[in-house]
Amino acid sequence: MKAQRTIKSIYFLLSIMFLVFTETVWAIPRLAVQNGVSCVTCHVNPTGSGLRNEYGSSIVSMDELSWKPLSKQPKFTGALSDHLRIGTDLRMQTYVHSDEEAQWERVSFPMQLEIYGHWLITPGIQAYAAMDALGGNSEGWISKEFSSFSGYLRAGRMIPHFGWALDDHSTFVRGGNIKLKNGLNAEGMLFSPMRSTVSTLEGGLNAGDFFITASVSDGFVSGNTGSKTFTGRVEYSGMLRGNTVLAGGSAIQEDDFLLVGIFGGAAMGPFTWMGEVDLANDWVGDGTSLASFSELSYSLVQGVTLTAQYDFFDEDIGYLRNALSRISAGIEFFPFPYVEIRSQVRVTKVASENESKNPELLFQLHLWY
Amino acid sequence: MKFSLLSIFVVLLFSGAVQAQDLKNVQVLPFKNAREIVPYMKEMAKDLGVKCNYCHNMKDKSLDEIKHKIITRDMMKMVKGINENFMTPLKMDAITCWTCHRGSTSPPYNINEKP
Repeated sequence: MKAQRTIKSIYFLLSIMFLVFTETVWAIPRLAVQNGVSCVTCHVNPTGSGLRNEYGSSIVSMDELSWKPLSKQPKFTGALSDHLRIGTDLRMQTYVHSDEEAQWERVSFPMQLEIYGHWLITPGIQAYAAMDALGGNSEGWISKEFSSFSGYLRAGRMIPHFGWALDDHSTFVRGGNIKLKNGLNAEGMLFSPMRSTVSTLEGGLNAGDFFITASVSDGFVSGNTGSKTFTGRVEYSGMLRGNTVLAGGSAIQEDDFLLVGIFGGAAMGPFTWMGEVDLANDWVGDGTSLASFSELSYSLVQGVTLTAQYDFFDEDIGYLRNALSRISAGIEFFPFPYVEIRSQVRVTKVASENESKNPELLFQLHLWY
Repeated sequence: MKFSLLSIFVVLLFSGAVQAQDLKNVQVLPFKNAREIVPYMKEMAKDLGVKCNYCHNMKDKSLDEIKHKIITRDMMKMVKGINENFMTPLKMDAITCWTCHRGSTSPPYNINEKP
């Protein structure tokens, strides 16, 4: 009995170390839609993104994503022991664009270098830390599962769970353009990688085909710890005539700020569609902002996916001329396990201008474990 | 910070409840957690030429709602019995799903066919 109390005290003290870190969400929800599963199928995080679990690492990453699975597979899949797992995500981005004098510029930079640690303290209780080695946000939490009603309680520093946790933070439903380049006051919603993780208490529940989360956080929108952010999300995933469908809604409220959205996805054969529409009050001034995202992808063969995407952002729907629309087309190539090569071309148009901006080219190398 | 500590305390307060099992409804195999069972499942999936969703409800892999999982469990018992009662005493290599299935859900030959 005394030993158990001592062990619990040690666990409590050790779990504090996960609190010293303060993440951006990088996930591919399309995989969840394609397979009709929730993100926790492959990730240790119940809301997706970050470190993969044993299934996500040794089956999906190694065999089911890549164009050429390895004939001789590594024995190490990230698990140091039955209780400890580590992993990483590295993204290198090259961005090619032209300036106003039609001079083309190329910029390459590391976009993400995250190192993950996961500790299964006992079955049902886990601790997780994600450290951004590039000096950005980090994440850390501890969670307890309640198998009797398929739920969990989680506490720590994280981003509230809202909408699709897309890996492309530049979509307007996430953070949009970090650097404002089209003359608007905002060029995306609030999920910028520059926004800090916040202290959050979150509960989640799997009820049949529904996955419900609710959380309370310290000032995610304003950065003011005196404010409380309330977030709720409901997601339904099921089958319709043999095809997976997914739909849901989410909301964030903090003081006078309110963000609501609906999202959905469907997969039929090699085609997958995902979409989201969000409305925000008091995001830009006291007007109502609207952001939307729609992506259609086609799986050419295992490991090669073609994507077409439309993004829209209107910082204030009360005015006609302050809106952005963007069309993107790209290819995602997983040549080998744990390797992704992504390229995309996109064209942005501002509502107040007659011509579209010059196209932008993006190339990304993504390595993970 | 205070909120973080309070939240952690709330989570740990509930941690005194009965601990969840890591693997549920594992009746034949001797594995205790995902790290042990996943490599075995990978091999079996390759031996049968299937993916995980052939037997499993991917939202809850412990459920027995797909008949292939029930059949596979019986097959596992057969393989285990053959290895324990014959192959091991005779000091011969253990059989696996591959021995008969050769990468297919049905063995590639009809056992009732005469040579």
